[in-house]
Amino acid sequence: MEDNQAELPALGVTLRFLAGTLEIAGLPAQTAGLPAGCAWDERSACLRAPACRYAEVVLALRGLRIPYLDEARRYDTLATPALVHREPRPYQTGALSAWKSAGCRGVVVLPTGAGKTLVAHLAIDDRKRSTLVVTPTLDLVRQWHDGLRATFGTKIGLVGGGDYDVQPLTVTTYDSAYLHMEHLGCRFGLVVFDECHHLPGESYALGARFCLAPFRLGLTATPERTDGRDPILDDLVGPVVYRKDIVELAGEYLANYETVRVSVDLTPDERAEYDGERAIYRQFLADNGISMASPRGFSDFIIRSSRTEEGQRAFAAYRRQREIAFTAPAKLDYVERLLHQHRADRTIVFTQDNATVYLLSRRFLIPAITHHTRVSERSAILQGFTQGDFTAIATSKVLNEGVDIPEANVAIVMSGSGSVREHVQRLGRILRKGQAKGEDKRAVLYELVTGGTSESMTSMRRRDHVAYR
Amino acid sequence: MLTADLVHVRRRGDLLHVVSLSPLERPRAHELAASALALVRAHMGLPRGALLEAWGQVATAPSENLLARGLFKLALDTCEFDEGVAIDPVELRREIFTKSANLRRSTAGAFARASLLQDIAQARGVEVDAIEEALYADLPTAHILRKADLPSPEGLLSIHELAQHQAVLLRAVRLRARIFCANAAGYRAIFRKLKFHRLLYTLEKLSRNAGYAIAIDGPFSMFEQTTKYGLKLALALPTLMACDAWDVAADLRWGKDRRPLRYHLRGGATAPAGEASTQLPDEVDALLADLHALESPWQASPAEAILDLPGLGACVPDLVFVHRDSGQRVYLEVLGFWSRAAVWKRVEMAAAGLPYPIVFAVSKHLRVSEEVLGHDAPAALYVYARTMNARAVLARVEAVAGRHAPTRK
Repeated sequence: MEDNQAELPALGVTLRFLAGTLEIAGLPAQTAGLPAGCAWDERSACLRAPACRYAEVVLALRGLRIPYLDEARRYDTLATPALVHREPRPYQTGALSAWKSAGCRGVVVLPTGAGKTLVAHLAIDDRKRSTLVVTPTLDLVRQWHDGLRATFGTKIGLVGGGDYDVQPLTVTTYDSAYLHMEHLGCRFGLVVFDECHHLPGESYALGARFCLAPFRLGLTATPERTDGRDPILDDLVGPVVYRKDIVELAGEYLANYETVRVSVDLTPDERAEYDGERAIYRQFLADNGISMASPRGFSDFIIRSSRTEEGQRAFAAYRRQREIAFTAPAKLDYVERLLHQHRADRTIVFTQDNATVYLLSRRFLIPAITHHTRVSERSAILQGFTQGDFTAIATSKVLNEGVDIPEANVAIVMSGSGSVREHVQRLGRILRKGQAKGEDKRAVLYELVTGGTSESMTSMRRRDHVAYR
Repeated sequence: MLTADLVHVRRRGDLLHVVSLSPLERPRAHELAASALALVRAHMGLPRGALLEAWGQVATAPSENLLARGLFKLALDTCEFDEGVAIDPVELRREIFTKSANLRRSTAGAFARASLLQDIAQARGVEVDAIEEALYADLPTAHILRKADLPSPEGLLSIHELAQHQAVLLRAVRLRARIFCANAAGYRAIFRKLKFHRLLYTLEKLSRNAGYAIAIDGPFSMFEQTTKYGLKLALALPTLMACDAWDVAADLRWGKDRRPLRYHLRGGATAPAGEASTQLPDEVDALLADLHALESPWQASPAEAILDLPGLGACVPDLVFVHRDSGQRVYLEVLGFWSRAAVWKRVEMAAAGLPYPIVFAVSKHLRVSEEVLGHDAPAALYVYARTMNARAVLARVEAVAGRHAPTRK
């Protein structure tokens, strides 16, 4: 170590944040005792590490007794503590303790509606560091923004959806985090990854690596991913430190619920058209040896079908048979009936695609929320829904996750994917209870399926969860 | 710009090629370009949805699909759209959906959609059709085409060719280039572009004055092969292509499975004119004018030299000051408010000893003090508030010159 110090230039050792990396200037290339990931960068004649290694680098320098100037860290201690203290439920207190015991790094797994946000508020108030909250959608950005402002009584920053305002407490989306973390990654000591099962995707993971925050909290109801990349969360956030499942909390902390599966039939004409289109599509798959069950099946189909006229016809047939199953007139009639039956309730109608959302909105004159809906209008719609100005909303996937609407008690799944996660998340939207103690809320989820079509199989796949048994 | 899925490529081994148009294919490509442009012109004042639908009707053979979609995408990129209805759709929706909820709640019978819309239309003094049309007039497909800066068909084909190469580089993790410019302006344009995009590079001077070899990637590239810098590399391509001679080799991660592939491209001054601008930045131009207006033993002019500074790569000074009597040279590099880290890097290099006398001009927004470089350092910092002052710059030039023996380059 003495040798190292002897070789230091006059300016000493300096840590700097550069575009998602940590520059360690003033140390020779062969410095021993630094954490794995530090490497000599010929391009700028200094040691460099991914920004996420910041805490390890600082601890290593302290351990080696190397004095350093820290120009990398640009986050603050929060000036004001939380102004509003909601009493946490026992499992929320347990989650916070487990996270702190794990060195303030790790993932908390709680079912939708169980109050993961409060766990994050407690963590922010405990650490008192500038915090970035990363969420998957703009709706959640809005919700976190309002929640943090109410709890901490301070201006909350927003990055994404046309906003770029960085404050000690800031909320952003995963997409914006990927774009901006190379500039923002030094500004926060705690980062909260909401719905953190999104994080292991290649781009989003890079956003987490570009950030030097020593404290990291992941929140999710379903950490497992179908692509098997969930173990990456250990490196990006930390291990799962606390977990409760939906059945452990239903009744006491979540609404009691029932799920109703409704099968509707096609008319003879629709059936004939469905069968005809499906036959064209299936024949093309068979002729080209494409298995839609394989991970590459759909992309193979798109590529192969674009090459010939026969393929283009097969692709059109694929779309048409899906459209018939997803928006069968009998389904629309049933939605009409349910909206009438639940006209005193608060209903969310979920679809697989935006076109159906706008179809429902036009036909039943109910508000629509898709990724095209601007933040201000989304806020107004959700507020109107909460207050009872609107009794139903049509949406596709943007309300699948996290959005806090305790008043919602009816879900109609008009169409969806085979994803178990999506189906559980949609159920979760109507299970959240309000703050009132002893509230007896009952929720119901209707799943509309066109019988004798591929939707039946899709429905079976997505119901493969303890919440639907 | 094109996306990677709109590029016509072929793979041979681990090498990816962009498939250029053959002379035989060119007339048909010209026809498709003309169709795309004509369709855009014909839809001026009409909704985007109508334009997209009309394009869907243009008959193309499956083998032409990629080219046709690419040309149409680039034509669409030149278009400007806006919302085209007098009724505010957001306000209209709020009114309709609130009344609809009230109606549904208050009636035990069937939901009377038509009469609700009729009442609203009547109250607003418009037809029901206008209400239906305005309801979602703010969706992108309903936006009205107002303006398009359309090239000629031949121009669109040229743009398409460049866009194909750029789209390949979107998937690049690293790029190596050999470049030769007849004058320093070309090099300056390149290094400025790399600086601007925060790309890092290593630089090697080629023998026999054949230019430079540069390897370009981003700060994080040494830890992970990432395509994060692909867009920046793609945007830098036209500048490289404006060199008098150039070749480019890129390492790619291609396709869904991110297969490692290589990509080569070479040529000479093929980029659109103006890419390698020889112009100085405005603030340097203004400083030069101020300097010329002063009486001084130092003659200032745009610098032609490229200074190779180990650990910094190429330093391309903006101005060179030549002493009228001694011929001594002092350089000025204007860092402006670009990067505090870049300033510190230079401070460290100056502290370790620099072979050239240089003044670094830095905006005060970067929070760097001139004092960090001692009075015996081979370089000086000039920290300025809003604009650079010619007399202050000359004072630093004098000071730095005094610390170096006169050099003639």
